[in-house]
Amino acid sequence: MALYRVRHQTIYRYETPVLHAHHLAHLRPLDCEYQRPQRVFLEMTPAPLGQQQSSDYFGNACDVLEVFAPHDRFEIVATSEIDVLDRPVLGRLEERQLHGLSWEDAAKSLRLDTSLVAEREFAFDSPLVRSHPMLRDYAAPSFTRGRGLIDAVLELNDRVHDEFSYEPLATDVSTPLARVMRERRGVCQDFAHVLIGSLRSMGLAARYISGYLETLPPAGQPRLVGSDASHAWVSAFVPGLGWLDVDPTNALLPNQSHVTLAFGRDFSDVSPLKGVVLGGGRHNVHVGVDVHRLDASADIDTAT
Amino acid sequence: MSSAASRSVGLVAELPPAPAGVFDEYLSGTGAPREHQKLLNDFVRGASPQDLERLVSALRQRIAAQEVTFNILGAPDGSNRPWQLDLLPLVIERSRWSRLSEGLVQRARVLSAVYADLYGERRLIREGVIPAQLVLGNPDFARACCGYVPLGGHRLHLYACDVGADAQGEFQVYSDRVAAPAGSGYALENRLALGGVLSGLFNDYGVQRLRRFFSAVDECVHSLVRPIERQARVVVLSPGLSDESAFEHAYLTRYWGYELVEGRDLTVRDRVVYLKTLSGLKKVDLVIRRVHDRFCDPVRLREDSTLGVAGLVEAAAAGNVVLLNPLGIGALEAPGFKPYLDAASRFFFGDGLSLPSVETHYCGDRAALAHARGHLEELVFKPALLERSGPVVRPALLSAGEREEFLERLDQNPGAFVAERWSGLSLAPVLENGSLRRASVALRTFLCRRDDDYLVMPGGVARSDVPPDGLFLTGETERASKDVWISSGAQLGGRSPPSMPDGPIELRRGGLELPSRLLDDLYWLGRYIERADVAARLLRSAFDRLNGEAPDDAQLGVSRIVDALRATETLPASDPTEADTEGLLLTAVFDAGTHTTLHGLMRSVHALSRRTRSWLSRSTWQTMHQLIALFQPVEARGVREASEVIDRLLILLASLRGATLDNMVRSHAWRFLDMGRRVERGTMMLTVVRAMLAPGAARVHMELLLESADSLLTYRSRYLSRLQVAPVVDLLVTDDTNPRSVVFQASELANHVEALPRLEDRPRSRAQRRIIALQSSLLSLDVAQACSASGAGLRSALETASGLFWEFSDDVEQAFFSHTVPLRALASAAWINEDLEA
Repeated sequence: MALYRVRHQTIYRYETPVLHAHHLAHLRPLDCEYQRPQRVFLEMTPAPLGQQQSSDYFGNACDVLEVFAPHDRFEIVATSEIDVLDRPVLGRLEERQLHGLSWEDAAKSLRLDTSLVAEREFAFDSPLVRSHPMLRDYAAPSFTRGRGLIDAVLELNDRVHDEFSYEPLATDVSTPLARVMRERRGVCQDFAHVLIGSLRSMGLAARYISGYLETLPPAGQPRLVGSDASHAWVSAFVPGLGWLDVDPTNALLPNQSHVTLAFGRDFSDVSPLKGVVLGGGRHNVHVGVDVHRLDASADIDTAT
Repeated sequence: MSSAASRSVGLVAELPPAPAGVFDEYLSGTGAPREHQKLLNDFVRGASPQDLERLVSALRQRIAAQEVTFNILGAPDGSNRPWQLDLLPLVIERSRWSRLSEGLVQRARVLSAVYADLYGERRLIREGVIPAQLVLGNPDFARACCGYVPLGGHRLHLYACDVGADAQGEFQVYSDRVAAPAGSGYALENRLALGGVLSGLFNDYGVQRLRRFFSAVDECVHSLVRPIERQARVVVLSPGLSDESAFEHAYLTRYWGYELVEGRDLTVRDRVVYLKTLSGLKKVDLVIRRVHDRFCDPVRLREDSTLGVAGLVEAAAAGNVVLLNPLGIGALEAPGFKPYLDAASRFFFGDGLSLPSVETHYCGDRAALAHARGHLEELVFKPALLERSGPVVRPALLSAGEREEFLERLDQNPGAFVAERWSGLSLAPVLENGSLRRASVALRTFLCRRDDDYLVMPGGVARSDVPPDGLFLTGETERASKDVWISSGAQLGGRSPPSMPDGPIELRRGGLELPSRLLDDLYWLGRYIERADVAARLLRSAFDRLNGEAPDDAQLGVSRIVDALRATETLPASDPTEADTEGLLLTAVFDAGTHTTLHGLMRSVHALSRRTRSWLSRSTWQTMHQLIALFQPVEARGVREASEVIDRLLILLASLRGATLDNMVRSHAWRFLDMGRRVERGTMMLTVVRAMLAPGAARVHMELLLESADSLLTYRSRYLSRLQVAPVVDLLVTDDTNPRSVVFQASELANHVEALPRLEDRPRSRAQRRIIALQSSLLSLDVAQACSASGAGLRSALETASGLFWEFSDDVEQAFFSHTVPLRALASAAWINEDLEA
């Protein structure tokens, strides 16, 4: 088990005062079987007049924030403490019967088994990840006839890591997936979209996960890419097992080093913060994330 | 042959038999008119070509006067094409119509049930009735709208359905419109226009009236909202003037007495929808939206839209507002649903559809794809999901290479396509340039929920020669529409022709609750009208002197009028073409390239009056229409034509003033219109006075100035023929008894501002303080002294006054209109650690 404290700060600055702002935030960590958020606070400046907390279509917690006082700066800081446990699916990965499941059979059961409608939702096109021959062509070499689903997914995850270069300034939120495919570079969000689109092109279901990585890893371990901001990775559906998270940016299987914020079909479902404003002129946005491990094992690590 | 036969258009004689496999609405198999077409046939045979021409032109005039227009999306010059209406109605036999109606009602029930299921239990997906991809892979399936039951239920309230007749004359459905069904306003206008022009025939047929349908919509609306302590506030949310059917938004709003708004007129606070008005926020109970689902809420539905209202989904989810139709239902417009509605009908109600969809194959289904691939030649392919996107593909018309390419696209993503079998639509005669022609017709029908059932509008809009699956979406709007007549089976005998209910009311409520954007528009309308008035008077004086018997010093005076026109920006400050004076003056009248010439100003007036149309009386509107009509392309644009245009313009502006002064309620709408006029009159007067009395001013300049300010008679009655600067300035600037003087405008403005709601917690608002400063600076001005010597004192006093006017105008804009700007989406804040400029 690991205990983390996360501080996620976002600041919008406006050229001229904003008269009215309406924000939608996905900033409260997911509550699920391997993760227990303990204390979650959102602090806003200026304070919103209206704040409604609810859960979205997928079950993620979200907040609607309405600010009516004229302001030329809006800051929101989300702090939370989260217990992260071992993921049960990882313990079952070696089960023989799972390894016997071919990717074709997985795709077929998604298509035909009406009890998997909820999972199948993640097999279709979504706003930012739409089917494209480039994605299918990219995935094909890893999805040879009869190959095991988990093998294929893990190989593709490694390939995205190896074949795309991580360039923080190469893309922004609006860069289309086709360009990422052509240029073979981007950031964690792009890699996640590439992997999601490739898996879907094979008839498989894949989710986008938004979350965090530990900022300063225990001594002796490498600092993971994407740890100074919010991170993104992928979850693939494995019939008989469930959702298996894979991180193409770091070519690994997330476990206790990853804190999950929310999941959706792609980034557009779970953007940590978005909004519309009245007035404001040009604006810029600053995001800063700190993730610290608080529990004993971290203390031991830093002590050594 | 009798001469009557040769005079007549000879419907029967001139039309060749319909091709095999196509239903003829008009002629039976024997070549004789069908029973229910006989009255129409007799009418056309009995009318001379001149008669028909007269009727056609009466129809055209009526449509021009109403300014029935249709914007063609995507066409560069496509805005505001006149709506085309054929003189010949499409008469449909009663029994055939009632079969169609029954089928439509059944279909509406099925769509309603499908909608409720998809946003609720999803049995249709789980039990395999509808492919999951059509719903969960549908970009219009609104996940934000899941998990709540909208006020008014998961129900289809307003429904439009496009149908066409097959070879046997049986109707089949080409397209279901459930998001924001358009077109009923055109049906109404077609009826009012044609019913008036063909009133005899209309009565002989005993045509069923449309009015009941429109009252049913109103009843449906009021059955959904019943606030206890006040009248329900119902708004029609329009995407604005650029929308293809903007005309009918204003038209229907006025018919029902609702309020026409755009997204930026509304705001959501704490999950309640409000209309932004001068006196603050007013709760909105029901929104009839003409905005498609995906544009309705820029936060929850689609970020790049400025047409919607941020928070609308949350307001709907909280049950604080009713939307017609409810959000999310737009997903059902996907053509891919058509093949599954029959099964859905059996699933929910046990019976199949009596009004079938046109044969449609959803290629996301493997068997359907195989079938479609096997019948390429007979089918048309189009997008299965995103409506309006992508052209229709007819493999039969493609070259081998193109077909190969298309099949590749199809196989790559079969779920993106449907294949439909478009059999020949039925044929009906249309009257075109005095002769008859057969054209294919398709029909848009309209339904409204009434209690737990549906009412079908007895009629609709028929369009000729258009693809049948999107009667209001195609660029083919040059094609005529037809009114649709269903006989009631009894002659009406002398009943009055169809008409609007009562007269339009000048202003519906006491100004405070009008949307702020409207007041902004009225303010600028007032400014442009007054600006045109001042410029026209200057130009009239100039042209009078260019015409014939002007005294010798005329040229001198005219050149200074050109200076004044430049100072008021009616003409550009410098003219690179070096046109002569006459050319410059003509430019100031006719040039449409800038918005400051008379022509340009009238275009602005026209645009603003269209935006404010539902708040303007019919007479005001007609005057506006005549104003812009003055500048319709004319052959010659010489001095004579210019003088004529100016004279008529001044008369029309005077009657417009009369109409507003006499008829307009002294509400805030009137106040803002008048404030615009006063601000403009004051600033224009100051500018013109400065230009005309610039150093070296002679008698002729003072005379022209007084004349253009309509104050020459007043001056002469006071000072006889002695012309001096000081008394001229006094009369035009500082005389508070002259309604044309600057100080008079200032005191009127002070009165207006006094009556406006106070937006600041101070004894006087900024605008108030500014206008008082202006007023007192003018009242305390020693005119005689200011005009002495070099006149420098006068110039600086006038400049100060001008500056105060501009600042006052800014104050008003800031205080009352600053929140009428559109919403903008922010850049999403994600993993980005760098500053991002948006």
